[in-house]
Amino acid sequence: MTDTPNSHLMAEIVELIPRLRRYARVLVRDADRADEFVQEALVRAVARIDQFQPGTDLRAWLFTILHNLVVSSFRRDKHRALLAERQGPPNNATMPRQEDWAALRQVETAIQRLDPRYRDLLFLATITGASYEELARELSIPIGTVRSRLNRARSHLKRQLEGGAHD
Amino acid sequence: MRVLILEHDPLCAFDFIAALEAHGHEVIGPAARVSVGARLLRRRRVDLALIDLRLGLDRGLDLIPHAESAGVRCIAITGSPLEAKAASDRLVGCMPKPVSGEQVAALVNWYEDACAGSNKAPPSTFMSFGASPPQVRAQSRACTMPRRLRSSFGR
Repeated sequence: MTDTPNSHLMAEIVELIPRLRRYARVLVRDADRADEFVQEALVRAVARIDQFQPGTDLRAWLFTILHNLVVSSFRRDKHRALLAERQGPPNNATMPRQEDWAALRQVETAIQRLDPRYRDLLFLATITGASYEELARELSIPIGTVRSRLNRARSHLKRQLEGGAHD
Repeated sequence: MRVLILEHDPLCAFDFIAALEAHGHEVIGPAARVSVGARLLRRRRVDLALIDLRLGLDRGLDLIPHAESAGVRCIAITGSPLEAKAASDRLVGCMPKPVSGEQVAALVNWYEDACAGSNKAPPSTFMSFGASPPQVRAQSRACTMPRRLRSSFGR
């Protein structure tokens, strides 16, 4: 037995692995890719175990690490795709017009201005296609909260794009 | 096979799970505490338990009586093979750490095949103790149907 101050935390992390995998599969439909995120999240959690604040929710801490990894990866993929599109060979049949690029940049800026709670949820719901039920279960928030946050995110976005109020 | 994992290291546990599932096994757990492992043994059907001996909070060997009550055989996956040897009459054997998930999966594949009557040699790093696989088949409720047929009949 090697009882260290972190032994309880390590044991809890081990026993949370199935839930982390389920959550990752909600965010990322591909099971292998989801497992890669879980593995990376576990590596980070173990490496930073001393940063965990005793008395706070270990589950939430782990899920946040995983969530941030997935969101960062999606953002990188999205930026790479945009860059590749911009740097790709010119194709007059598919190249967006100047005003389309301007509109796209406007949407990106509006999304970045959203409250992070709304922005991340909107991002996850849009990119992963997860249902309200799946998001609620895996984020441990009521389904009504998912629905209202998404509605708020959409209306804030709409107002910003129409040149309305800023939050 | 339905394999219970008792392991204290999250990265090892994850590695074992991924490899076992890739080889078509079902993982029960993982548990990092004997109490959790014992509860899983009571509630779920398990064919084999892989136990780490030096858990952070408990002694892995303490799971053996619970496994015996459930008719489940145990294999130690441990960095303390001498400790495992001291309990050799109650373990099928021991695979010393460090060990990869693929090696663990190869061990479980061997165990399953041996239970079904194969005479194939175990993985080279595996130390056999106590009961041989045919005896395991006679004493345990596990491994009554070959792996290739199981999906046709349900487990």
